[in-house]
Amino acid sequence: MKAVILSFLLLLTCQGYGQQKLHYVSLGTGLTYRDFFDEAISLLPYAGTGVSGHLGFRRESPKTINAFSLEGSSFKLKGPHSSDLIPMKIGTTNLRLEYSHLRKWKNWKAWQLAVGGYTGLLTNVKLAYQLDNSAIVYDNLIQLGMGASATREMKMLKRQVQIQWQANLPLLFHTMRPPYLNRIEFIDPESNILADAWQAGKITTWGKSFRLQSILSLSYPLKNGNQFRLQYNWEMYTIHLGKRVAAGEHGLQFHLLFKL
Amino acid sequence: MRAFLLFLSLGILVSCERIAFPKAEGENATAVFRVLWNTLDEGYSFFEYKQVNWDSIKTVYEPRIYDGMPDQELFSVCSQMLNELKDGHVNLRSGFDISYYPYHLDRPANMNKELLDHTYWRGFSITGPLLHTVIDSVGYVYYGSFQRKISEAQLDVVINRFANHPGIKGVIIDVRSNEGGDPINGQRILERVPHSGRKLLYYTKYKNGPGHNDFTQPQPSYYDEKGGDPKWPGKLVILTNRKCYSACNFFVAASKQYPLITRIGDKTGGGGGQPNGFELPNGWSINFSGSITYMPDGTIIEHGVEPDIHIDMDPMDVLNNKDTIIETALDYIRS
Repeated sequence: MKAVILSFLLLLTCQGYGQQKLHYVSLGTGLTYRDFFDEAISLLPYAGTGVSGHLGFRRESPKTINAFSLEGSSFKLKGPHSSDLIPMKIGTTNLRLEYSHLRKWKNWKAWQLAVGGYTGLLTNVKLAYQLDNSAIVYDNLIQLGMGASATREMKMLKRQVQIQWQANLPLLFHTMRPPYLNRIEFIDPESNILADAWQAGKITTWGKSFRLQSILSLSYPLKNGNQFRLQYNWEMYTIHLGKRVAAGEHGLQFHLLFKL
Repeated sequence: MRAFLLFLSLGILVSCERIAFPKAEGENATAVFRVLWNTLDEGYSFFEYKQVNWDSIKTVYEPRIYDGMPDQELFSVCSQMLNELKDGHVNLRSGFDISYYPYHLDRPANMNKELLDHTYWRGFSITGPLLHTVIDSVGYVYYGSFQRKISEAQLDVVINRFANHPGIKGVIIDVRSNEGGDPINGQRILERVPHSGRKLLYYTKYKNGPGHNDFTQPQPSYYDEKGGDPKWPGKLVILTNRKCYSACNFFVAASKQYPLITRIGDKTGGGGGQPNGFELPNGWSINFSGSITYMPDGTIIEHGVEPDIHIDMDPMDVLNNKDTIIETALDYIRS
């Protein structure tokens, strides 16, 4: 079952190539804020700020919009009672690999609407040093779902800017969470944390896993067809496989888009 | 601009992930006690083995908890409850104190560092965490903490020193009062035992659910002899005392599968569960044993590993600046 779903994701990722028109590579960075609740660590929420990086590829034809992005962010989060005496500190690293293939659907007033498919990988590794051998906690979601966007162009600062809002809503997940007590078998020299995690992964859908992502961007044209983009990302996800997880992230990023 | 503001509003509107967060646990004393008790109830691995009735322990300590009680008093009551488990791997960390079960005080110390300094450690070398010397044709290594990493290169230095010493008869590896750390350091030492091949060391079953008997299937652990690298020369002796705990206890248990190694001293202190952790609603954290390890003959190592030659320090020897356990090991290797 897992193999079938992953093959389908790969197929979805590869389709749509061969069309032409606008191609952009984007590079970006930004600041981001994250809060989460993870019952495998604590019964209290954690929050904090971090930095993020972005690498993307976007292709737009008269009929389709394909967007691929690789984003990483790193945080130092604190719990509500964090002090010099009580650590309540967690370091987290997020990795997101995402692809959406949207087909332009229709115009609504000045807005160009597009709908299509979305697939992505979200990995969030949390290090709660105060928890001894339970310190390493992770959420890993491989997702398949749908995406939609609304785009319009308007005049701003004497240039034709583009405003776009895109939402991604996965429907099917391969979800990996640490085993009971966040067990890592340090006393077994042949233990393989990645193999164990993959083997324990579950195919889930809403109820067990949920994620929603919203990307709001404003693209401002520069010389030579390049663009400057200001982007606000928001996402939240929940997992309920024994221990509950809920997390949200707000990120503000600046991108440079280079026309190919 | 109106459209941009509209979209910005839309972006903010969906930014309410906190509605998905479960209600946070209260942070008063009764909530802290409840979470502490439940965490142990669902995670601690030795209730059955130690014949501990956790419910009855709750009835003893819960009435002493009241909201508004000072943190120090709450810590004290919780620590007393945890010490009922008689487990050095069960610790409550409050920031101002760490609870600790003194697992080693029921036995003599069986180690005197002043004596070692004056009599046996003169002219020693230090390679990383390993203090080493040669005592009358017997190599001697003291390793004080498994928290200090041993590299393969450091082991090469120490082993080559002994292997190249004329007339070397064997090596003493002294891990007395080593309270543990990372088991991989023990693995590195044992992989240098010659002609050992692949060794089945022990089995471990891990907690995998909230019931007191919810465990994974027993999982075997193996060490493989390190090919090509220098090996310990001659007879091997490991010195132990009651303060040899946790990763040190695993090391001594694993060494039982090596016929070339003899253990001399006192029974180790135990610590046969892998410590797991959780955070309490007031920010304190707790760690506790979450697994059970037993040797291939079925012996659970939580309460320590017996030596092959059991001997305590003789006070008369100490007065004469002699370490009874080292002297016994030297005699054994020379014999």
